[in-house]
Amino acid sequence: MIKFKNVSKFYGPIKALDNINFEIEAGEMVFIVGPSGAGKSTLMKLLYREERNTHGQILINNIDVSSLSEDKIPYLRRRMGIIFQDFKLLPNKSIFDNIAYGLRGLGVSEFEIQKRVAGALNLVGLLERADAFPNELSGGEQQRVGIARAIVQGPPLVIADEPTGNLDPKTSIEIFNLLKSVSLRGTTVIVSTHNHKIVKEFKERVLVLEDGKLVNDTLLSSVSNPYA
Amino acid sequence: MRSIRIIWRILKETYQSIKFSGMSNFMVISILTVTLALFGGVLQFNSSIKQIYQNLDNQLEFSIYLIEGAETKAIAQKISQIEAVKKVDIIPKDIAWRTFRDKFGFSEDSSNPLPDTLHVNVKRAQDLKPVIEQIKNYSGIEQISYAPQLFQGLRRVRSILFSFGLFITLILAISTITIISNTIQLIVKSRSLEIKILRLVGVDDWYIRGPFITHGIFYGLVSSLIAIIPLVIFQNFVWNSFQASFKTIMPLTFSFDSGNELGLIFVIMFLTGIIVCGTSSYMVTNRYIKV
Ligand SMILES: Nc1ncnc2c1ncn2[C@@H]1O[C@H](COP(=O)(O)OP(=O)(O)O)[C@@H](O)[C@H]1O
Ligand SMILES: [Mg+2]
Repeated sequence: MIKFKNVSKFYGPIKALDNINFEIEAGEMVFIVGPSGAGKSTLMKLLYREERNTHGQILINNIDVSSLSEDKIPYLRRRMGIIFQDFKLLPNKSIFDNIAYGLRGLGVSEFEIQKRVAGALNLVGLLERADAFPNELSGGEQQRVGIARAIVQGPPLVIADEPTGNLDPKTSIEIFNLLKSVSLRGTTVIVSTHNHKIVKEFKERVLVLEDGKLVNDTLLSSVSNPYA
Repeated sequence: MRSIRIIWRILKETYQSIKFSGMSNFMVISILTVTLALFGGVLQFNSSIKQIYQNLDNQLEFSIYLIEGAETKAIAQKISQIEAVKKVDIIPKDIAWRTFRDKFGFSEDSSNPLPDTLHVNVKRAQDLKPVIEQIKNYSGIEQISYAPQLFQGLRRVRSILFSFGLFITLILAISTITIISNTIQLIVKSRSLEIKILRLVGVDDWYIRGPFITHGIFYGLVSSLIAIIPLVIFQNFVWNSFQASFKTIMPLTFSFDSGNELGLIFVIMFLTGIIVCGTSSYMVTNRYIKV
């Protein structure tokens, strides 16, 4: 589903990604692990075309993302859900409206919005908090809302950039478990973290980034967990 | 169905955005109204003056004031024989004086200062000057008076006032555009999180920009509607009473049709307001909202 071929990314003179190669199959859950500054966010931004790779090819379902024209980018993004470390919830909107906000922009009918938002909130276990505002929720709950918003359109791909960066370890594991359940429903999930200790608890594929280089891919290496 | 929903939602977002701007709406609308009213005023002034001398240019009539004791009838006879002249009316000084006295309320016994006067009508407007040239050397003629001559100065005044008015309008317009751009920019910045979310969900570009552009257009719409009010008032009180008094003073064949083209001026103001505001906000979104 996703294929990186000799991908490099420069920010001016700074090399953020250096000749990255890997493939991810549909329905996989993959951790991208590495210290701060390793290039995790950059790799994800290339996927949703917030940034453009300087060299190489990024294929999503055989479409080269890097050569997509600007007016096609919205179509790319409608097929993915994006989750952020800082949640990016609108503080003056209810949980329901936060999730509905993008759908309204897409022209989905109110009836359909009701149905889909309720479904997504139910999946993350926050259906009864639909009327609450973000500041009335705990960090973990807010990130659940972020996940609900990402999956509300049923995208084939979910990208989570350090979704647990602001959360304690226990809550982090809950969030990762939730993302795992999303992937079990057939969605490809790519999730980054600098916390390799938590990743150990999950028996998922891990891509290790260091200094812009892909230094380990548990799918290919004999070591099932590089941090074990 | 989907596009109707989207347009409706853009209007709702526009409303939110206007509400959010609070007091700065009043500031923008005030200065924009002043600018548009001035612009419309300049156009209105220009069109009024133009009408005055279009009328003057179309004059078929001029007056000849004769010397005391001139052969009034003979001169009238001679003039009426000129090919281009349609008719000559003799206004004996007694009658002219009585009319004048009645109009301005002088007392009966003041002595008559007026000479005999001839009102000459030519067949076509372009005959006026040649006929005057021909007549002016006749003996017995004190002075020839015709409308365009009276208003030569008006042309210069018009072009000076018109250029000056446009210049002021331009300066005001530049500050107005700056203020509108700043207002819209402020809203764009304050809604950066909303914009980011919409972008990453894959919402169409025009849906994201739409509310900001319509917000700008709203300013143009409201301001031009307010700006037309002083122009209508000016039209109805100043201009119309000016016309009325003009007709009594000038013994001329004047015809002011609609007075001026107020309707057209309003359309110009309206479109200018909307286009300028819409374009300014569009440029702000272009600059501050990236795909
Ligand atoms: N917009 C940018 N401009 C310049 N350098 C950047 C930019 N974004 C990231 N970088 C640099 O690229 C490298 C990788 O950053 P990033 O992808 O954010 O790493 P991570 O998410 O793993 O912490 C870092 O050296 C960072 O300083
Ligand atoms: Mg990062």
